[in-house]
Amino acid sequence: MIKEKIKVILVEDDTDILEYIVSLLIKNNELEIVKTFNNFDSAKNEIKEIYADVAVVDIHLDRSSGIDLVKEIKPELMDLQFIMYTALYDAETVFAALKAGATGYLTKETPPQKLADAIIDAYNGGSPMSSDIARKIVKSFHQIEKNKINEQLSKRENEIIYMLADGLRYKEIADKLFLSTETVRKHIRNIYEKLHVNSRTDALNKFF
Amino acid sequence: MYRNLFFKIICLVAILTISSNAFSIEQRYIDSIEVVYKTTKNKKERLSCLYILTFEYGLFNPRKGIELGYKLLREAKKEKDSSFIFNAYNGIANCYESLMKYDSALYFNSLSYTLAENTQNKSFLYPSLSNIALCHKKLGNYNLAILYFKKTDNYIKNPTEHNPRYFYYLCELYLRINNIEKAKEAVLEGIEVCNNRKDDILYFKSILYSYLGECYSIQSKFDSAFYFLNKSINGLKNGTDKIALATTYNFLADAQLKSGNIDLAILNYNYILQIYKTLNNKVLENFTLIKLIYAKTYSKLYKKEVLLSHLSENLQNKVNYNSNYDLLIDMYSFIAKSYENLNDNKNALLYFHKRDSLTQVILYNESRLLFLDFEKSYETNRKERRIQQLNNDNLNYKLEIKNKNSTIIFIAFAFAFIIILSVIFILFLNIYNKKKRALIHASHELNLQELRKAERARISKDLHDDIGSGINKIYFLGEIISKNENTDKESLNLSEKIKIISKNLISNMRDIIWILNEEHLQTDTLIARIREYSYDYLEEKNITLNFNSNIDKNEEIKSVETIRTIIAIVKEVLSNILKHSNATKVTMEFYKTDNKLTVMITDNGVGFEENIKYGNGIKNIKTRAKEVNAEITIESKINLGTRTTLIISI
Repeated sequence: MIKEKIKVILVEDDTDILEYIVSLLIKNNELEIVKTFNNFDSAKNEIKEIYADVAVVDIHLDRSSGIDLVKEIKPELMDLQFIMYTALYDAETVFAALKAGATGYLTKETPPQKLADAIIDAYNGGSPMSSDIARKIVKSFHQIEKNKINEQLSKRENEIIYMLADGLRYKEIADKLFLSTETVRKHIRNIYEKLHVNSRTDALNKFF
Repeated sequence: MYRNLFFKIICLVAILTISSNAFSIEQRYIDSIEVVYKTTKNKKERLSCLYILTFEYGLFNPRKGIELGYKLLREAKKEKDSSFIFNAYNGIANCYESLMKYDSALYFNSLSYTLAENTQNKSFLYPSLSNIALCHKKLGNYNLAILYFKKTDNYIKNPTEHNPRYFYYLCELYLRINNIEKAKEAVLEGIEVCNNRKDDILYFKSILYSYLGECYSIQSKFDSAFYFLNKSINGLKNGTDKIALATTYNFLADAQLKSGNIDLAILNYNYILQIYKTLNNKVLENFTLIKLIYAKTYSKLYKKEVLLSHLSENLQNKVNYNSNYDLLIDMYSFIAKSYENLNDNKNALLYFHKRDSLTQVILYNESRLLFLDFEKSYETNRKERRIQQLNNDNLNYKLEIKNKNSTIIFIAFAFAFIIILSVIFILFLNIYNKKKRALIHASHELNLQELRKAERARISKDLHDDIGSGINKIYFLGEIISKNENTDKESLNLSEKIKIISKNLISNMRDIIWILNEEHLQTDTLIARIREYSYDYLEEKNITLNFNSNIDKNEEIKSVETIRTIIAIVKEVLSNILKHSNATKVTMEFYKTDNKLTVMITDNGVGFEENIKYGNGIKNIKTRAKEVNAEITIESKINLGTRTTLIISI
């Protein structure tokens, strides 16, 4: 059976970089670039009409933020996975994107040769999480502890997030908890989902 | 006479071919939609496909249509898409209408009306009200149907916006309740509206003419009736709506029967029968057959026994009218009248009785529904009035308070205010001298902190947005140069350097932004970051890292300079290990004694002789440490490895 290609949308305002990324990704057999956008507005208007699996979005777009794009589109296209592509990894911004519904992020330092792998990895459930992000997540789940509507982290997820906050890597966590790295990755994806759900209910709560 | 017949046969053949063609086109259309539905993953597209399929199947396979309609409803509810929920209700109602289950259809139409009301979607309100009215009509609730049709007036600006159907449905309803004047009024208004419209409305106008004809025919003004009915037939005979044509012929035949042209009426009924046969409409076919028999009872050409047997044959051949009471009442009266004409009084009585009891049931039902409707509007009115009254009371109350307050209270307040003010002023003067300096100092400090924070945020944003993406671009350009086939060796070396430098710049910038953003930085945060960095950095070169942190108490590190120094030194040491040591194993340890933090990095690499002149890397480390008064020791033995120890006060 022919494996279906992962359909990718790219949103990047720098056309040089965009072209270069396209030239790299096009060589990969597992990916198919269905559409590229070089500005916020056209992306906002047209993404909904395209069927794709993954959207790689530059956080810093011409006039607006890629985060707003995720915020706008994610509620309508829950199937589409957003991967933020950022020049300088900075926890504040990336965390905002994750809350808006992104499931991963790539820094532009990622060696271009590894970009395709990173996208495939993100599509298959891999979500990177640094200690800064983990720390912010711990904080955000602490703040909402009293509110019962929100999702809570399970015991396992809690263990993992605290280890991540201490700077442990996936493999170390897996070794310590006698899990496979695959399982650790799944837990982390779940944590992201819960974070997203919570920030959505938070947004909702503001209305009532 | 023969020419007329010949023409009709040609018409019939044409209808047959058109309908059979139309059927195959329809089928192909449905097939293509189904393919789209099965392949697309776009939710909106799926919903649209389901919606179209529901309606298309509604015409010739309503049961399948209902199934799809429910599927649409489920998916639309999952998506919380109110317009598709509305479409689903309508689609299902439409299917039930095809099955002539008008009570179920009414239920779904009411749901769609409620939804439209809740979302205040005017474009939905009009059709759903009309649909409800139509269902009521079919159920025989003529008064209610009129009521609902009239309700649609609220959602349009002037009568020309009405769907032309509105007028002839209204006319038909008035005819049913024997209010011929009103019926005529409705039809004439409809014709006027059609005349004022610019689009092609020949079709609607023809139907309106046919109803006008029917009005005249009921008033026994046959000349006018025939004139309008023929006009209507001329307009409709080339169109696609054969049911409308059949209805007009039906009116014509009725008028002919009433005016004594029995043979012509019979001929026309036969023709109508053919139309319904080609349309495969069993119910109307059966109904027309009974009407035909009824017409024949007036003619002397047919034997009574034959007609009687025909009639009972037809009645045995049960066609389910479901809840189409509208038609059922008519049918019962035609059967009864036929029996009466054929002198079978017993059966005539039976069918008259049947008709009356059905009418009574409907009337009872309708009055109950009307009552409910009335009660509902009464309740809402009452509540609205109550709210209005409460609002008024509230307003009055406020006014009263305002009036009372106006003078005395104001003066009292003013006095009290002045007294309090002067007391405060005296107190303040006393304290002022004492606290003056402290206050100024504190506020100054506070302001400074705020300013600093804002400034930090601004710098970090600028670094991130402008310089960060700029350096990134440089890195990418380096990458593009080195990937270019035409690049010579020298340029290749240069581009590699560009890449390395820009990568280091990015990394340093990240550290700076991180420090700028982290307020009240704690030791554990710093250690976590170092741990993370070291793992990622060494992992690439397959060097294992043992990491130990023996710090129990978490403390804030106040000096930004200290943090930067620690990070920079760790980075430099790691880069030296990678470059020169050939190590396979690195151990990193953190201790804390008093207010001093110790960082110890040991590798198992080749080491170096301590006496030799230090390279740039180690020089850098030493100067950095010196700047913040930190102790740094570097011990190394050939082939045993190197240990760097940093002791820094925090």
